Amino acid sequence: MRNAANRLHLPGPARPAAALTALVVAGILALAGCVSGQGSSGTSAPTGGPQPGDSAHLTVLSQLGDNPALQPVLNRLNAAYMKSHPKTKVTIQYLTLDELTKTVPSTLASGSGPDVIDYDANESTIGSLANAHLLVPLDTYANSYGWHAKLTPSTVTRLTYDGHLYGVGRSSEGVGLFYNADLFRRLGIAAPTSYAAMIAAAQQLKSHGVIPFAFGDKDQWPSSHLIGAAIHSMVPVNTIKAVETLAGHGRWTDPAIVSAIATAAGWVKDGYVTPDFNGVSFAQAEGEFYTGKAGMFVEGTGVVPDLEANMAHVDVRFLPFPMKDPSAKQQMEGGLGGAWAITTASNAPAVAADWINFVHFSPEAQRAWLAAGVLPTTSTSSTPSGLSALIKDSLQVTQAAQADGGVGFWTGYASSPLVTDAWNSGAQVVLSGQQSAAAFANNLQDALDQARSGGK
Amino acid sequence: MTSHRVSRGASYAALIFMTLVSLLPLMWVLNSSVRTEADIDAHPLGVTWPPHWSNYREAWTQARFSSYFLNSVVVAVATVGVVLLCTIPAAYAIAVVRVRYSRAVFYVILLGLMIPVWSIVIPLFYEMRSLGLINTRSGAVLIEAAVGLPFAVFMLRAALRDLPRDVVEAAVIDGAGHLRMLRSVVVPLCMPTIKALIVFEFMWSWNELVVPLFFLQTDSVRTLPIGLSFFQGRFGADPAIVAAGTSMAVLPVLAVYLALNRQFIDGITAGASK
Amino acid sequence: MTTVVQWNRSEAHAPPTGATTPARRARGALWGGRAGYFLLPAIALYGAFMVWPIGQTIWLSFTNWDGITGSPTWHGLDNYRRLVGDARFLHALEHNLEWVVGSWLAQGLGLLVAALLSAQWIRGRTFFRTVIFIPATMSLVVVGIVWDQIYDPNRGLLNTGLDGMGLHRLDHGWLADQHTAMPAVIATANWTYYGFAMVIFLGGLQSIDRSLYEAAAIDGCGPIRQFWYVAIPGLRNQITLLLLVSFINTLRTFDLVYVMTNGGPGRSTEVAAYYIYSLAFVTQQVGYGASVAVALTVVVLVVTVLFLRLREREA
Repeated sequence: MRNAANRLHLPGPARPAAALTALVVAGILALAGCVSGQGSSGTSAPTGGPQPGDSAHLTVLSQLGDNPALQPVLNRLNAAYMKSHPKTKVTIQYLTLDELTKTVPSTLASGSGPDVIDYDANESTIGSLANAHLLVPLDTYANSYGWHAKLTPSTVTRLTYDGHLYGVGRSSEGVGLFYNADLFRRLGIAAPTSYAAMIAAAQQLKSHGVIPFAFGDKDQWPSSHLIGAAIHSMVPVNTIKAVETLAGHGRWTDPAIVSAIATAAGWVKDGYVTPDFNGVSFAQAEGEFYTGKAGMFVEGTGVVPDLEANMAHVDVRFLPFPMKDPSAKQQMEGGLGGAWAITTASNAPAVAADWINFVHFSPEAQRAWLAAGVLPTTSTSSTPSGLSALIKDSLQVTQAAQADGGVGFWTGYASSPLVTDAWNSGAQVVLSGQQSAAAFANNLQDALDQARSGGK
Repeated sequence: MTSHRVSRGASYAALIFMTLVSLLPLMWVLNSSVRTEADIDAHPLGVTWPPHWSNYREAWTQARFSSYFLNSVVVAVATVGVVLLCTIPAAYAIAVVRVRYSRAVFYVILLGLMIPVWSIVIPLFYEMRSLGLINTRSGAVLIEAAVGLPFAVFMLRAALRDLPRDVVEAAVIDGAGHLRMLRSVVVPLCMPTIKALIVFEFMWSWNELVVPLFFLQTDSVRTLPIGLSFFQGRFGADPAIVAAGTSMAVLPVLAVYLALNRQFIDGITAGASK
Repeated sequence: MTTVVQWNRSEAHAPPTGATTPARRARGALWGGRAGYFLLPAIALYGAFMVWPIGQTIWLSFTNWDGITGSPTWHGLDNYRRLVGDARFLHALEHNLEWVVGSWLAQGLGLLVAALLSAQWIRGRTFFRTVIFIPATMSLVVVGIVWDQIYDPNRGLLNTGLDGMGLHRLDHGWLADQHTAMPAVIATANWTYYGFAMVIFLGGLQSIDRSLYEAAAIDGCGPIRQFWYVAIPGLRNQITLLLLVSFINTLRTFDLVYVMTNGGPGRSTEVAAYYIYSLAFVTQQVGYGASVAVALTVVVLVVTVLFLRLREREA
């Protein structure tokens, strides 16, 4: 009898055991720690790789997912670039800011991210990526393309970390007060040019069954614009700066800030914002303003393109969000609305820089962006003609604030992801009246303390 | 007799109610997917006629649906393949041959059923990066297969344990080697279990969110659930287009389920009785 | 998933070693052999993508690292010390527990439907079973998106449906209110659970000997008492199985929260897995995130073992 055993009896049993042992050993070796971060540590711009015009394929991650009206503008500019550089292919992917912030740090840390990202220009966002050496310093490109001379000084300052430029501000943005002038006229309400007038308008709108302020905080960041508007209306920019920077010594528990937070919560309590706002997305709130269900909208100039596209036949105007103390200098929440940056994962940084130079600085790009309602980050001498009233409003209001009290920060989003995390959940609770402004400020301060002590 | 009829009536009423609960959300989404945003706002429960099919075109072109779809198919099929290739021989070694230490191996693998994916995701992210497997479909397949492996090992071992011993012994006496034994005895006899496993592992992979969320981060390799979760953010304002995208994601799964619904049900019942 | 319920018992049934029956000899011949190799693919896959990362997670849980720069630095027990006083973690676990308890409703519904469907006179059994199981086949991402729309305060199916029935007063921002958001998410989860429970219970009910019901009927038991005294005891295994499976799955749940609420409003729907995600990938506290992951795993293992012990003692 030919027994299977005769053929198969060899060292068998030891094998799985050996394999198991090997695995255990491997596991223990692993415990000794082979996990490590991104190794690259260069702080000087790499100049190697394909040059402009060479064959290259760029991937671009854009945050215009929140601004559908601007996607065609970037698509057209991109097509023009590819036409003049036939060997270069550029793929753009649109995400919302929420999706972007959820994925960009880990995507870049994965070492195979996109070539170019359009990310928020804060210490907590571009700053932290730059500090982690996930972004390429742009100084070399800035020198050869003359970006420093073209960008406004404040744009350069906001994107410089450790003495290096890490981004090209895509737009200037400030939070102000949009209102539906047609609706106001029809209901006989005076324009909200002062804080008192704004509150009076809110009361009148409410009595007519119109939502005074369109607001949805399901996406969590819109609260930064609503409460931020109150903070920039009541707290001097220098105090805000001390709170919103890691190097600063300001505290969220500053009485002026706490009182501003309480003021914003008061608007909600008085029934001035969209009901159930914690369950309403930003896009839905925007829709309420489009359709006249809401009369005012406290938002950044970044929504101008969407308003232009969706309210073409409505008279929409933009005012600075009024200072609560009418004698105070006009300030504004904001800064930059996104910035182009090149990642260290890019194999073609020189091509990426050339692409950025085209889609942002070329005369046709500047024209296209402004016409679409995107405020420039370059120093413009005069306002071109042919702009819509809304775009002119937003340009003038932002420039005036810059010259007057100053443009501050993106409230709660500027310093560290820890603060942003505390902001996102806390703002929903404080606005719905289930937590006091002081308790919210305490939580923000705890997060800021942790970030400042390096425990990010 | 009447009380009899009443209780039967009540039973049917309860069943019909549960049927409605199960179907209404889907019907509502399907209906919304062929309407316009303005119509939905004006009459949320109404019907738009003629149907507004262009939502589908919009969703398909804007959302790279075809590419997400293809990725989902590739990842799910490969995951099923890897799971079966690894577990059929392993279950044979454990349950039929009973090689030394196989019981220990079996229990260690079983522990995997209880491990939350969160206790492996963090370091795996860096492991995959150093292996160059991040943002590749094969990377996601390997992880999903490892996560799906314990269930498959368990099911197959249970099926093989019930295998009549005399069949095995007859084959051994016949001089069958392990490979022939696997091919001509084990696989045919385990076919029902294998079919159920194919259905389950496919469905799990198809529906998986966490693994692709971290390991497939570029658009060219993203699978449907991730694509959809982004899709919602992108078209949050327009419920009609979101509904069209959702419908496109639901319909294929629904079709597969309706076609294979016996395998689903039998698979679960078999799994539960083990 | 089912495994756990079973493994202790199967061990008890293993044949006694050392018996030299012919069968034993035949197997002894095969014993070992090259079949050992057959375990290798599974061990390699499982070792590389399960065992190894778990070891790594444990190690990371003793370190401090942002996940981006440099390497992890040893931090001893600091993370665990922080964990003990971390109200946010306990809060998240509480939400998991609410979810576990909430899911019992789905098991109950599943049992009820199974009981109705196993009545002999019922018609359209396959139809009902097929349709009622549909939600269980769907991806949680899809389910989350669909139910997010259903809960929409203004144009969602729920509020507009209530309006249609003249129940305006019940209109609510279901996901907007801290007090209703968690129940709303759990209800969504339950929608995907009851079909599974139904199928499991149907299988169990079919294997119960008909004559037991008849005996009970002869003893004068009506349908309800028959169900209580015959079916329920007969479904003991299925009930344990479902309780355990739902427990394990609920503790690691993530998808619905990620899609529907981001853990909000406030942190009212934050569950443990979402907290881990937020720590490790949003606020870049990888070391601490790992320690929370370890804690969650330990909780699952401990409760599973306790559960099985308890059940064994009862048996």
